[in-house]
Amino acid sequence: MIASTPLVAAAFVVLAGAGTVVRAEVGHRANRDGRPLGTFAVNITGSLALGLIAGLGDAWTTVLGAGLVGALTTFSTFVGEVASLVESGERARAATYVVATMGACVAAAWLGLTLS
Amino acid sequence: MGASVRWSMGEAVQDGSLPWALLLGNVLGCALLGVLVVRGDVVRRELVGLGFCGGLTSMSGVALAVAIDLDTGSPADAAVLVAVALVSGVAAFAAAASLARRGAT
Repeated sequence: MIASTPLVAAAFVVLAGAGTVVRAEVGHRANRDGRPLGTFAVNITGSLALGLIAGLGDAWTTVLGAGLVGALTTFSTFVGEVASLVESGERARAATYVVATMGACVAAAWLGLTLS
Repeated sequence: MGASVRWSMGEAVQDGSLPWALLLGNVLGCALLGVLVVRGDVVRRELVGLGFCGGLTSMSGVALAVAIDLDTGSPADAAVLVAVALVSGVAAFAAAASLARRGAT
């Protein structure tokens, strides 16, 4: 079950909520039709942060990593945006988006791991 | 809420070479979003799609798992994970959207 301690569980819920709100705000401000720059930006930022946080130890990794950063980044919105690009006939842009996101996020996470 | 479910699944399933809980969360989130895109109104898309599905799924988790595979010298595992994550997510979204469309007509 979820809580190691009540404090960790409470911090997790608060920070996950904060991550979700930031992601929604950035998405609304920066995403344009066919150019999901906001989603792209939060996914890369979050991957870098998770790489940095991964070595911190249990409670911190849970609260900051799985909570704040896990909620800041999103896979379902990314997949939805790819599908909508494909449906509107923009296959090249969809492919570019997939390659750019996976490449940049993995590179960012790896950079975070290396720096921490 | 989505993030809490993702965490609980991660606590429940933790062994094996692939991060199954993470992949399952991603597949479920993508499928649910697929249904919402076809059948949901704006409020549901915002709350459940952006909020719950977005929190349930995680891109940083995938990126970190891939980076760790690369760091520990298992590029094959990294490639498999990227392929499985992408294919399962897109397939779940497309299948759910197409089922929802069929149900809607």
